[in-house]
Amino acid sequence: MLRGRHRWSVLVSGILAVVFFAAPAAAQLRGAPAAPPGPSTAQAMAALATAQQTAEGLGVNLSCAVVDSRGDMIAMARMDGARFYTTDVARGKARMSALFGQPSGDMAEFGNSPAFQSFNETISGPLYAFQGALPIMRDGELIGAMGCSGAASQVDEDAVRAALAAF
Amino acid sequence: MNQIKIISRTLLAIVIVGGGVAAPMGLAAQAGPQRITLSEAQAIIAAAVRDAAQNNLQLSIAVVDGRGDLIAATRMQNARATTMDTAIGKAMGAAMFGRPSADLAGSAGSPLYQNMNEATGGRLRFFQGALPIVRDGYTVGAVGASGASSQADEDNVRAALMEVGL
Repeated sequence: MLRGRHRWSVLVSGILAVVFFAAPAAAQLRGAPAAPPGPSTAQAMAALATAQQTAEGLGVNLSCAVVDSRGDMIAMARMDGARFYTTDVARGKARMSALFGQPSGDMAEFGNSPAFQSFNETISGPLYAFQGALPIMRDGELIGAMGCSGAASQVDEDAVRAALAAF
Repeated sequence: MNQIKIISRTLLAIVIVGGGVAAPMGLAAQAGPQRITLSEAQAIIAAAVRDAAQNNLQLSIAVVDGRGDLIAATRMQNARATTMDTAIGKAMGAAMFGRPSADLAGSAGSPLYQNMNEATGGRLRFFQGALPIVRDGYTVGAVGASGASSQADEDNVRAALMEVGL
């Protein structure tokens, strides 16, 4: 019997502990702010401005996107005159580059493989394995990627390379 | 008889073709409303970011054109990553239906809205927080925000549009 009572007291104190410790956790249901992404918003905006200047100098209209290392978009701009779907392509190339940590142009062969097809479906978002996006590195670590679309893919990549100094 | 047939058919063809050409020419003379430019979109976003910072909010803000296609978007430094697609999806719905996205929430489950959502690849978000941009009586775009309560998101968009005079 004593052992049984002991069990009950352990159980009751356990319940009390859960109630007292869980209450503050429940109060935080809204959560702490998200951790800062790799490239800052200000850096992303500066990079978009540089890419736009480069594109204007070359007489082309581009969409450009900056994403973090998870491939989530931080900033995007479509220049007047760039076709509507270039936003998706720029974002998809940047995502490809961020998820694999290399220029999207290096991945054309992988882009034709069945493995890529199933990966593209799993990740549920458009990925584009074409030239025009480069990874953003900081201290040897991948922090994001930037991609452009709207001109020849080499020109897209040149605009990105010119803008990478912002990071 | 054959000659009469040929002449009457030729005349009919001229009338049909002539009408077909003249009608679009008449329409082409009408000037459409000015589209939202990238610099306008970026001015709206800058105003929204200022307003959000004043109210201690971390938002994503997106501007789309009259068709619902993305023009520009920004995620503020500590806004959650997922707020970006929500801001875009709300703005797309507001542009495609020409109404505040809050008005669409009640019909989100209807077959029409579901079909529209499928047509966009499932990108629409039928929640409060986006307003259409109306110029000369036409919907020329929309702005969506996400990251706070949906009312605060909408208030932020309204303040930004007021500030840039749209």
